[in-house]
Amino acid sequence: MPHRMNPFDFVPLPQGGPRALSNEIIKETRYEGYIEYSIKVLTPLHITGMTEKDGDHFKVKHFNESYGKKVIPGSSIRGMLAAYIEAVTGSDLRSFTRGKEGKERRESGKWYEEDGSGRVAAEKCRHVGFLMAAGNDPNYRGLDHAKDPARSWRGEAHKSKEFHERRATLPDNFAMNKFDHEERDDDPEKNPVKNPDKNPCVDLAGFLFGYVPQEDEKDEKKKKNNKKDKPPSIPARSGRLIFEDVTIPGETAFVNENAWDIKGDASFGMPNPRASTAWYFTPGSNRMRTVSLSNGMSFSVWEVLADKARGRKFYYHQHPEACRKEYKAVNDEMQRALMALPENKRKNRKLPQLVAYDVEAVAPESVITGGRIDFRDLPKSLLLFLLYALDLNQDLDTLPRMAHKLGGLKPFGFGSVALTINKIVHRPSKGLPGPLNSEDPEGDIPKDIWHPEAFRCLQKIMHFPQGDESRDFVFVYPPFNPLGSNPEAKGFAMVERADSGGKGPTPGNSQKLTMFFDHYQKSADNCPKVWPSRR
Amino acid sequence: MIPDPFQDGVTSVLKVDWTLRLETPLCIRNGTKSALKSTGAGKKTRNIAMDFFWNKEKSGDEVEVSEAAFCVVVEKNEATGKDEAVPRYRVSGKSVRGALRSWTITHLVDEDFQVLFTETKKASDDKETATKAADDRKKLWEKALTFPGFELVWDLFGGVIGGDDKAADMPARNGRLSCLTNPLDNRADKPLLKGSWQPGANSNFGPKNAFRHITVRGPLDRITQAAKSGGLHQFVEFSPNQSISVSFRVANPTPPDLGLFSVWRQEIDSGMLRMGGLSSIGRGRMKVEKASYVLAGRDEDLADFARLPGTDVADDLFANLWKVRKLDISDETQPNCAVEDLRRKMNEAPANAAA
Repeated sequence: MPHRMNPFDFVPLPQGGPRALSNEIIKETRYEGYIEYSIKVLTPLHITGMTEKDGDHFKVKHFNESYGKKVIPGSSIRGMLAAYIEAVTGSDLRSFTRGKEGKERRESGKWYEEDGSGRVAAEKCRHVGFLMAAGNDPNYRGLDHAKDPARSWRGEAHKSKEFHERRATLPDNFAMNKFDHEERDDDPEKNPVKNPDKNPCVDLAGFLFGYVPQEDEKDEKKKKNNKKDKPPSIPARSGRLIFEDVTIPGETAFVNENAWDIKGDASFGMPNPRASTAWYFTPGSNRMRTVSLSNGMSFSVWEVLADKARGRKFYYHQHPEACRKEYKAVNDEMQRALMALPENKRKNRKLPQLVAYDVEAVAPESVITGGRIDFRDLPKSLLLFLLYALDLNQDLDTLPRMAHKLGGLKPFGFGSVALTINKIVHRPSKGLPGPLNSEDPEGDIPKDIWHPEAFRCLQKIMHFPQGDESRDFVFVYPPFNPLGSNPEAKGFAMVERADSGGKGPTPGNSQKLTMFFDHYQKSADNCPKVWPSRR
Repeated sequence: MIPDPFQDGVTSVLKVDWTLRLETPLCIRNGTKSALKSTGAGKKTRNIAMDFFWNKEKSGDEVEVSEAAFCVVVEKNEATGKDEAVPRYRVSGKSVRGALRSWTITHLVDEDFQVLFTETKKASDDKETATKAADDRKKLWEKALTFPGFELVWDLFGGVIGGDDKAADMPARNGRLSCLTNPLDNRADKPLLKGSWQPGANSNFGPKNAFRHITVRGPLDRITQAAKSGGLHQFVEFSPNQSISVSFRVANPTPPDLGLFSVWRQEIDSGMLRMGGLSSIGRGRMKVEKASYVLAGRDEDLADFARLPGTDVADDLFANLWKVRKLDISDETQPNCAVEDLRRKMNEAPANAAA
């Protein structure tokens, strides 16, 4: 059965590590001021506020309200822009869960097994763990790091439950706030008392948005045990941008869009997005393991192990109505196929029942005014870059039209927006302030700010379909397959029955289409239109 | 050279009263927590049937909410006629003064000297290293004093240079600017959170003298776009469109001090000077709704302000030893001569010798 592309895709992380902001830009004259902008809503915009249910499914999701008004939080605009700027400039990861795959205790009561040589044999564990970290992250050096950097303990005094088969899941230098451990050239004779803010070594997104260290050690005992040989703690840094809430004017049109939910505790869509869902990683090695049933029987499955994090996740643009129809069509098709089975084979095969619920959303074509972003202490190059990042279309060489995504229900087509700059006022940062200058700043953005590969990916993912293109820009999650002959075939886990031995599944050569993300995307019937060069 | 503060006593005072109106929410915390609980609404709901427990540590399945700053005042209970201590929401004078000080340092103090206002802890436990670091800071301070921006801030706000290395005799100075505020004077029985409040047996909404609301922030993981683990947090903040009253006193004021108030006011009104926390998400923008400036002092000490429009005020309190003059600085968008005095001071060349 032909399928559509999955609603999200990834922008790879630069293999050389996060890209530092150049000295030339840091040393430019700094400016402060603010930007006033409008938001044009391209597809219904929903920011989730109060949510009601009816039985075991959503009934209505209301639009966010704050201090008695319908409001787009400044933090939502900030997050949208930060995610884009981090990606397109190859900056470090600013917000992520350090996370490891959930563990399951073996019958022996141990979380791991030793194979006699002192090394942990991860293959014997029920699940294989990973740690979202770079291979050279000094916070996570293990006892046997020198022998096998990909496999290590967390370096704790006690043998812990936290075993990581895969540690180097990010490219070197990512998620370490590497730059705060380095210093730029500074003349110690001239400046014996160093001002850490004066000449920061930082990536572009860190310079604009600031930095808060990851809090991944909640256990005080573990923190104490891990203190040895750890680099000094990194202070938080404030950013240079201020994003105000956008109060939605009273006359703005709202609509009650429909979205799908399913009956039960689970929410409709992708299984709870967490890094242990293997689509977030490139495929590594295969392993075969045995599944034992309660009736004493057992069978073998192939499991594809995670290798590296794919990158930063972004959602494609599409129209919600077309997306809804596609889900309904797929569900109806599955239902017909199910009903065509003999009754004895239909037993124990259930299809989730789709239920429509209301979503309060700003109507498409609405223009929301009153947005304001302040900037402080910003070099002119970065001010020009910020203006580009807001409206995306200043560069006339960029032919495809790009748009941002804001708010909730992104995978279902909600939240496509285009920002328009209405006014910018600025003045030099230093000294007794003079009047704010309302002339547009002039100049060029240094070309090396962009990470080329990331920009190419984002051009594809953030393309907003024009006219007839919308027919092909429909993206849906792979459906649960009730026709599957076994649980592995039905569900979403990255496993398939190892019926015929061999070396295990490979892209294009597996029983389960969803085993390999990249292959799934490339083989979708709309991929040639959405991303021609991918095939 | 800056004279030691008050070495000749206090011979004049500038009293400035502002009414500040919140244009955006204001987030000022004092470390206390409240708790919020969804009562029985279950999965696939949000903000339904909420209980709120003011100034309580969370327990069980309650979520923690960072509270807004409050003080404790003594008020007469109208029912009992007795004085009792009651909590009241308040934006403290320290918060306002701190915001003004921070802006002034950032804009008027040379970058090389700004570090003197930030790092104050001891550089090292090794005595020799700590002593050298303290000496370096003191030398930097002496150099900084020759620059008008640093001198202005040091003179008006005071400060402490260096940490607890008392052996190095590090400079410290009293400021001439103090700031006082009153508790907010509005009434809202409970914080605003969209959804139905279900006042359970233990629900307690805390002080009622301010409009406030609860804001939620939930950072997203860049790799999965799921909620970042441990990132969700909620906080109480003051809602926009309410006012706070602030009073400043400047001992022995100079025209540049008054000029600074005019500049601060313009910066507050334009949003370039914000107060409180979470400015990264737009909190703390205000407007000066009302302003009054009153000078009191000996004739000779008010002479420098004679060019400013104003009216003398009859005031028996000072028994004519001090005059009282209410200044009429009504049009804040036009530079007044106090601002010109401030500009002249800032344009002075660095002095040759430290104070």
